[in-house]
Amino acid sequence: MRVIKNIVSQLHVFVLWALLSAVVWGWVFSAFITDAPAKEKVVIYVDGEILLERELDLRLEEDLPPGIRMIRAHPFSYVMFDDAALKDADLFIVPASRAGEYADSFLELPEDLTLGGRAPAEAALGVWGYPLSGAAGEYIRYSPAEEYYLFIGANSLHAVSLTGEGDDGALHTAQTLLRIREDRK
Amino acid sequence: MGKNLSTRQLTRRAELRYNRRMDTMVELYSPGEISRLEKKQKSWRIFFWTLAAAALAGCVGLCLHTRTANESAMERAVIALSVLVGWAEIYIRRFVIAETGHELAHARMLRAGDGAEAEGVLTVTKERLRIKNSVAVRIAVLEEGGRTTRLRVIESKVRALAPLSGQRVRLRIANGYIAGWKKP
Repeated sequence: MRVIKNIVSQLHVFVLWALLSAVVWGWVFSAFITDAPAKEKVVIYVDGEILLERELDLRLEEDLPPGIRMIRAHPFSYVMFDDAALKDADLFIVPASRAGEYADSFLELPEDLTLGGRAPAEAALGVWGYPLSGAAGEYIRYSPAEEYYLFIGANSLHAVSLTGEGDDGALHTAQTLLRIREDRK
Repeated sequence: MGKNLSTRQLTRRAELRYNRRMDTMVELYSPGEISRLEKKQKSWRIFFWTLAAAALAGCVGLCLHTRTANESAMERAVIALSVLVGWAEIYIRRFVIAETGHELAHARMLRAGDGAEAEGVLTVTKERLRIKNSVAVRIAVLEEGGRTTRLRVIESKVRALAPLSGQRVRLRIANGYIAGWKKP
């Protein structure tokens, strides 16, 4: 009885502690534990809806490129107004109709590059649209009326074969993404 | 079969028996009692910091075992651990360590204070008050020849004085608090 009385007398302190714990640990997790520096992370942005975001991350992390410890796939809406985050992404999946808007953020792919058994057409790799079934189609909702392309980010730290800097984590992840499409066939 | 008593209880009983036999004042705060309070406070402080360190180590351990597949579960586990241990720590800090510290400070103050003595019929009332940032006290009344004196007794000592309620006693009073008693 006395214990309950004591707790009630300081209820505001107990409630405050619970809120503080949730906020602080939530921030620690989102900023440090479930995130990694750009050098150790491959980020994919999809101009569309990702149905199972975390499951897609897990599927891609089954085949982690050397030196990479985390892969994160997000829809464009994830960054909202943070253009910087979008510009530093490693891979993009964008419909043809909107590719021009982000053209500055993409690397031009050389014609001799082959990813997932496919060579790029007009500097981009098609991932959705006849006759393609869509890379990671069970995780990404592609619009049936659009053609989608996979691009590599111009500021990516993980496309050494194209930029001469960093590693090839983005290209490795792109292969994995395309292979998920192959697995479905 | 006799009841098993701790060393502290035996010492206290021996002290009370000695006081009665020698017809001396029963001190509510004997040096033994002060030493017991000091030990109690020290033990709880050690427990407090050990628990805090263990909880922090537990949270760090859970963070280190976090992977993409278990991140939500791990985050919930860390928050739960932090909240529950934090609540326990708040309780220990506010209601055990601080209370013992207040009682200890009061006991020292009472022992150091001038011990005036007064005689009369004692009544321990149910009136309770808490001195801000200090101990909880109960009001006791000493009546002698139509004259009433209101005195304070620290909550934790009410049990020791309760059997004397309604009886004639001689009290040692320091700073308005009952510091000791004897039957006249």
